[in-house]
Amino acid sequence: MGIVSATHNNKLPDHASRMISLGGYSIPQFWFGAMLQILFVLYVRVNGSGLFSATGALATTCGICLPAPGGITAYTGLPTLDALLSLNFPYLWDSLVAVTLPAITLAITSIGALTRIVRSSMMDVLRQDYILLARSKGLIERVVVYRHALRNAILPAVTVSGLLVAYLLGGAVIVEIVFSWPGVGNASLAAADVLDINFLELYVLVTAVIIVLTNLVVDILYSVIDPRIRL
Amino acid sequence: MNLESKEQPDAKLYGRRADVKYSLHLLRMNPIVLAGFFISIASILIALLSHLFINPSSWQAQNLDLRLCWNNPVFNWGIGNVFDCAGSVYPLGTDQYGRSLLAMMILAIPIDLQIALEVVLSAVVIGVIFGSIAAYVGGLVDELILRITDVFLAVPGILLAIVMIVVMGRSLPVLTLAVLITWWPFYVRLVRSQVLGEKERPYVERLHAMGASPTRILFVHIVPNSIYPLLVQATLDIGSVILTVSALTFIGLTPSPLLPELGNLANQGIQYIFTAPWLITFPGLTILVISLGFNLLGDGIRDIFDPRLRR
Repeated sequence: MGIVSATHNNKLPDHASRMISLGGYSIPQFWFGAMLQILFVLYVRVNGSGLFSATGALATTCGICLPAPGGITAYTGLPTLDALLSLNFPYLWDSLVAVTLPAITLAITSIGALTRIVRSSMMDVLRQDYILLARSKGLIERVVVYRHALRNAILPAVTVSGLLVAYLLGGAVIVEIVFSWPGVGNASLAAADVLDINFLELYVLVTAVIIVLTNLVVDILYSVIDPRIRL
Repeated sequence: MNLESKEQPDAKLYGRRADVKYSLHLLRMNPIVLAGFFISIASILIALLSHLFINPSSWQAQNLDLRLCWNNPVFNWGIGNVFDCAGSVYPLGTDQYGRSLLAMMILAIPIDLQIALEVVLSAVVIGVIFGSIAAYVGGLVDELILRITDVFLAVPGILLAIVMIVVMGRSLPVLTLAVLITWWPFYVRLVRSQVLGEKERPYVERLHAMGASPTRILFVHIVPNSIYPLLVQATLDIGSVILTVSALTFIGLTPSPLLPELGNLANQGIQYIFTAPWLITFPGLTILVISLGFNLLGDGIRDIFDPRLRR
């Protein structure tokens, strides 16, 4: 979307994708999740019943709360992965459906942020001399944009996606509440209610470690994307 | 054409006043930014005048006969009215205690806006002080301040705020403080990077030669020259802070469940999401509109003041 926006600067696709990204940037996650629930559970109906179940994981199976349908072994405790490992495809489909709405809800803000970053850096790159050179060599527009420009414009987006991991880990708490998902965010909030400081300490520590590791991966990715950067 | 007479060369000829005029002209040319401008102004006006619209002592009046009612003339929303709602006159329906949703929402806007303004202003002040000192003094001080911000940036903001509120108790000042704790490091970093670029400019050297004190150079000359990106960020962040605050109160970290605050209203409303969907829809929509307004405005200000896009 950022690419389309930059290549069609100030035309209709640009305005549309800017509006979507700004909207995604300023929509309250919990509200978006609730609206999706109302939309898909109350109004969009397939075979007389809601396409998605309102409570996400709970209504199908969560591996812990209910026994999974069919023969399934809890290799990892992660429903999607378990289903894949034991080749139980109905269960795999179930777990994927259950994760769809929460995932969309969690992603909407990041979509907005990433689109803005890609757009601005793409517009910067498209003004550079080597893009003019690539065009004057007679390369088709697709090659110019995706091969030459995108590779140089993607660096800030990689940085931001590293930072977004922190945001997503925080946002997961809210999404888990909206969809009554029995995840670690819900558990940490329950722990907060009873002042279980040990649990909170551990949770903060684990997320901080995850974020630091992500930033390490981002740094390594830099040198993969741009060979000029030496670690 | 009228448009051409206001090109950049003219603005240069007539100095700052023409510059402001040109900026206003650009503002007028962009309907989206203009919309953001009006939304922000309107929300601030509603916040200031809210106590004229709604009598703060009467909004709590409960009308239990008319709870979860919304006489919607257009379509019947939700699974169906559980209660007999004949005679319900509330514009946006009532909550589970029969209180008017609209009245509570109007009273909620000043609370949210006040927290947002407090957080952003304090973050700007902290950012200007520590960021500029870090950049100007450099060396060990710079390193120390940067590492401290690193500590705060390594933890998801919402999580840090949750822990803060849980430990320090649930009240509006603590809520403000908790959001501020997660917000100030960004401003320190922003100001630092701005001042780092600005302090290498020739005029700073000239001020040194003239014998101006470092404090004066920093706060009278460098900071005002590097403040524009900060203003843009502050405008954008008012929307984000409202989102964060309402998210925190939505997950139940509110001073009181009865407090009319947008996130708290949504929290109360989600319990009735399928019987009375308006209770979650409208508070959330209000948050969306306000935060969208400030984001549009900030985005527009950035475009208008960006010298690369001006010409």
